[in-house]
Amino acid sequence: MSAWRIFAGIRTVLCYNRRMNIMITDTGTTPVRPNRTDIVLRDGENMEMCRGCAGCWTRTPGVCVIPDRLRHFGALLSHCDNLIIVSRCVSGSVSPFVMRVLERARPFLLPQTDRAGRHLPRYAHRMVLSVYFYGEEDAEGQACAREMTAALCRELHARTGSVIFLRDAAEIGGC
Amino acid sequence: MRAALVMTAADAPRGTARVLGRKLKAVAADWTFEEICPAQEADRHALARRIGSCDALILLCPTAFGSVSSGTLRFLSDMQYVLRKDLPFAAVVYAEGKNEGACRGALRILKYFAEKNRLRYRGGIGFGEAGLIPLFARFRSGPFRSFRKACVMLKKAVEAPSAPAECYADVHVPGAVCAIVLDRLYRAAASRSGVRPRQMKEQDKAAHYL
Repeated sequence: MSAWRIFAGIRTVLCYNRRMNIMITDTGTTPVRPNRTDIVLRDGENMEMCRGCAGCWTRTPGVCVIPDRLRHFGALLSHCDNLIIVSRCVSGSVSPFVMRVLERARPFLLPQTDRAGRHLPRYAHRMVLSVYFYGEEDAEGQACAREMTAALCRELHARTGSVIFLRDAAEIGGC
Repeated sequence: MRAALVMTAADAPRGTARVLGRKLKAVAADWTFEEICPAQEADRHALARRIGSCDALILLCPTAFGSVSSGTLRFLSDMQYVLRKDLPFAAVVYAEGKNEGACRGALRILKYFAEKNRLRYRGGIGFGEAGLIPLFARFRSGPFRSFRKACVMLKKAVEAPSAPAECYADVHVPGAVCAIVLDRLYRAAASRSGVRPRQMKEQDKAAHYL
């Protein structure tokens, strides 16, 4: 075996073993300063909508068929320690951009479901999900958003982190 | 004639409104059903005018992680200033498989949206799969009855505005037929992609999934 092959193997193992955070933000700012290994997904980048073709379950299991930045989003989530979402609160839910990214997380799950209709996880890893909502929302809207976050954690088999409501996007910070 | 707009998602089957209009003659003879996919409408101003002039709105949308889909969220975010007050509004949400929690979460968000924008919310219904709507409309089965109930609620809302709203958030899931259709869908997709039967069995395990 050549030295180059050994080096490539070690590099692959290191790449797959690295831990990181993924931040999805529709303001462009993040509440914590991202490290070199962290991934920040901002609005306006090359990210298409999920077509609902289920190709990530049948044709290329675990990999999305759309060739853009989120093609390997499922595998990235399997190496993610913290998934941090910064979103405007739209009718008790996240913003359209954030939901567009989350819909591409389907390769993270298997097509099989349990008795409750929840898809089984493809990977054993469990991340922590934190959400920073901003915008003017009343108590009912905040309750809807909390329930939606809990449902998101259930579906992604994630642990619930903090759910924070802020009046203005500027309160999040400017990292 | 009163006009009801049926908002559908981009991946929903076309012709739902046509099938509905044909089947609902007995219930709502003086209604016309027009189908619009907001994602495919390039002219947003024309879309806003049509929404502003309709008599009732039926939202037919998929669920995603306990909420409505990104396209529906964009529609709600863009069009909330166009929707006139007291517009009769009903929602039909569909979750893949048998996810009752996703349907309930999406319906709660839509109900909150309607109350916030002072629409006349008449209820919401959730069920299995979008592809089954024309199928069930043809066979006069479960979800079609649910959809007809939504239309009856809308009709009551227009004709008797002072009547109390019926919050019908029942989740009707057609288990057996949903299973057969999804099984065929996955098998067809697997055969098109050239996956061997053993791999396919490991990948989708349709029997367990369903």
